[in-house]
Amino acid sequence: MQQNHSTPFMNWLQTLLFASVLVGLGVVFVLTPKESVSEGEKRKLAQFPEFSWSAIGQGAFMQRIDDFVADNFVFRYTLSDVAGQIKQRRGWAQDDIQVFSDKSANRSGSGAPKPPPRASETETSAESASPSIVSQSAGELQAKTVRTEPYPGDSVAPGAASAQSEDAPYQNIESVIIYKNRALQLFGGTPQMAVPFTALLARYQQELPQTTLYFMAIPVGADYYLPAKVNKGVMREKMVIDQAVSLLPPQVRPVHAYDKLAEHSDEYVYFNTDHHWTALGAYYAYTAFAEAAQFAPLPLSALTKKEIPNFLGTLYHRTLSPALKSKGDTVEYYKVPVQTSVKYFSSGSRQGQPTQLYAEYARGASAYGVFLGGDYPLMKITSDVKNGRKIAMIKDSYGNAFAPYLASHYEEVYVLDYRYFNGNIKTLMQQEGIQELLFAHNSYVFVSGYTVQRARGFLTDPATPIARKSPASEAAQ
Amino acid sequence: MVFSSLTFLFFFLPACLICYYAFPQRPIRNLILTVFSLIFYAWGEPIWVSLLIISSVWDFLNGLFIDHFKNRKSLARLGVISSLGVNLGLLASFKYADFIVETVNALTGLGFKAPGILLPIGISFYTFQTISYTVDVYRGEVPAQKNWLNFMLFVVCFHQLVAGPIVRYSHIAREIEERVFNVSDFSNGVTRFCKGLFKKVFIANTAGELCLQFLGQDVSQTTVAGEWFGLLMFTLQIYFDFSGYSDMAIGLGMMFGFHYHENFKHPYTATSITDFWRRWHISLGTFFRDYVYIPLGGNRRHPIRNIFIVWGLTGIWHGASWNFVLWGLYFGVILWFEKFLGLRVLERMPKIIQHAYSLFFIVLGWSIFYFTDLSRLGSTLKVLFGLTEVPLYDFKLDVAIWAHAYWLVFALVMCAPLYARAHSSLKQHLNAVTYQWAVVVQNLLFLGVSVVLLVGKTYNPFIYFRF
Repeated sequence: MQQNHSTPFMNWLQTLLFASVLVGLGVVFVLTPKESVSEGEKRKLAQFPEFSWSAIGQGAFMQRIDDFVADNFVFRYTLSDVAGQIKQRRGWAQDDIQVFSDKSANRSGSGAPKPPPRASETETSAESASPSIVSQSAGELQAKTVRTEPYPGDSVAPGAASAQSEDAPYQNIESVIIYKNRALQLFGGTPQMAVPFTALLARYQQELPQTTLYFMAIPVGADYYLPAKVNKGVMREKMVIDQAVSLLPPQVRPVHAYDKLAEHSDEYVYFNTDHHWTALGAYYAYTAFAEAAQFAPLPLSALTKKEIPNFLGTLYHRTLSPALKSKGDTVEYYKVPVQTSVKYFSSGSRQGQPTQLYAEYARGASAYGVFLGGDYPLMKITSDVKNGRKIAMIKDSYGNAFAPYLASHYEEVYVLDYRYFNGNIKTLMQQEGIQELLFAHNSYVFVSGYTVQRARGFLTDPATPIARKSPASEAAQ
Repeated sequence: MVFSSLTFLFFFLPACLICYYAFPQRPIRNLILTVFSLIFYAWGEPIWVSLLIISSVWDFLNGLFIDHFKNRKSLARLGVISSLGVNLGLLASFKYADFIVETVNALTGLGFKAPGILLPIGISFYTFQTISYTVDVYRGEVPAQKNWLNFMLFVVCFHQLVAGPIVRYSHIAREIEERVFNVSDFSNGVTRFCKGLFKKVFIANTAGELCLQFLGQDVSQTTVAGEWFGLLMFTLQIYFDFSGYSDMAIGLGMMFGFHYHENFKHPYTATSITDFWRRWHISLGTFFRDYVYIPLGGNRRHPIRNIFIVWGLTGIWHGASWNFVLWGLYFGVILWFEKFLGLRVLERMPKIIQHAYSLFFIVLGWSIFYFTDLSRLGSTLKVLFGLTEVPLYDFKLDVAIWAHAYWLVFALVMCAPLYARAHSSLKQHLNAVTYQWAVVVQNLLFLGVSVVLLVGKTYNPFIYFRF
């Protein structure tokens, strides 16, 4: 019976086919060039390990070879895409909803999550990067150059801290939900989680009695777009933000970004495929801020709109959802009608380096980096609005899209990233004569203990963030 | 190293096949297979490869010793005792040391420090294989192997080294010395391997993700239906993972001319728990039957005691934790019940009741297996039987079921013997060449989808967004 159903020719065919597929792909792997960085995943790819007997003895050498093979496998991006298609076709999206649980996200096996690099390591690699992408960026910068940046993150310019260091506070990202081709992050925060941050603001008010303090809680947007089936009508972000505002110390002025964004939620205020808001979303928050800071915001028509097409953001790369891919995004940005000169201070450096308000060469998965060029520890934006108003803002990456608008109303804007800034904020405020301080954080960030701990540190850090001007130049002022 | 890794598929396996088939002489082939197996093992456990070699040398010598004194049973017995002592000693110190210390501490209130040894992979399998060898030599069922390299190959052969099946020396003794290359074996091995890989990567991994999603959350966040679904996913995961590995092992064996015994026979179609254990991890069940249950007296002397000893051991073999003991004894109780009453009652029931009864206790059993934390197990059982306030179900379950609907149907169908029946029906209706083309296409599909999904897993965007 068996004999009738197996011919030597077919057996040989099957045998040789199998062997040649395995050998062939292996050979192609060896022969193809390897990349050092994956822009979509925002991480460095594993390199072939250096040989050492001790690494072999501990098994680390073999583990790194596995990582190297996994990270550099032939046709990896195409095959990952096909994998996304296959996963999509395991069933269908009931009521247009798809859930990507944090726990079941793409990360196991050979490419298990790698420990985030130490901050110092990140810093060094950023410092030692090709000296001047920005100077090249006077013209069009090749996407390729951006790709070779170590740990590109959203940061597209050198010196910008790259981001995968200790942003550990996001345990309350429950999962990513795709609803109507839009990726949404389920926010799991509860009202009592707002308490530590408001206590921090009270402390700031005590320590900086002369400063006008603002608090802007930025929603990540799930409230506006989740179907009732998922959130059962419970607006979790609103509950947390309302609680924070109700507990604010008397002199801290709330900025009602939530309500402004809610009014405009049918416009393009959040990306479909990224965890950030758009420049338009940030614009509406800016109009809310204008109310709190008592100035008249510029109308959109006064700004110059520009676009970077074909943007697929972090939530696409997290889910590899074909629906998200086909929907896609465009990074729009609105240039302010003022002249600015911008300096960034990389970690440990008290001397500013020149940069631009917009990194207009940003492309691809890093396109959100167009805003300020990414996350620098500290930036100083000087505009030609000679009104003497100066403001500092402590922000996360949502703030990048927001900060440029302030340049139209403040002579100087100091942008501090809560993760990377180090130094004494009181010294900074006094030395530079800054009268206003804005806390602009999205809801994941301000409910996190890590944020509070960092910002509390700014009050006691002995370091001077910006080098004092020489007495001569001070006298000249 | 694991079979379902890109390094294995595209580097290790082709290199091993090329080196192996470059030499026609069997002793050289055996040597190559042994060396590759040691590399395979050392890939994940560079230190513990020493343990593997020590264990195989020791039992090789024990075998010779027993063989030498085969006419003086009392002396030969010393060889068995030394084999048992060393192998069980290895297991006790490397697998159970922490467990023993923690249990002693809990019972006595003392504070011994747990040594914290990480389990050397595969130790449960290869120690059992070498025990079976020395016992079989003692019983005169197989002659002792006189060539150390040949014996090494039996112990370390990478096909079954880390995840079974537990191969008896008697099954492959002849093939180690006499096997011949046969292209139809190789071709069938390819088919078997691709099927196993596909079961592991497409079915088990997906089931594992879903299982983690539903059973991995805090009990207060769960729903009754969600916990049952999570448990069902674990039921699928463990079967397709384990039987997929066995398929791959059997397939790899065939590519190199070995014929290992089947380890699974559609266990979820069992009509009783007794039946289930004849179909699930057969090489383990028969090991305990032949080397523990029957020597203890089997059905003739103290059958109840014997059942509970065997099932306590079966449980603890699966892991050094009390929940596994509990899991084993759970089956001990059911099997005891079936033996003395249940089976006679069951046989009179309609088939559907038999299946429902078996599946219920199998699936429920997996909850004991899954939760090593007994208090979490307790709260899960309460949820499963509706003794808590958690809702019946929620949108997450709804969405998960529909998002995996085709997959779910496929996985459930693959639990039944339909796949095998479809193949035999195709064989009857198609001519040989057409049928084999269909098999080639199926294999390419299985291999292709598996590789795509394995590569897809390497796509790891940083999970913590930068805000």
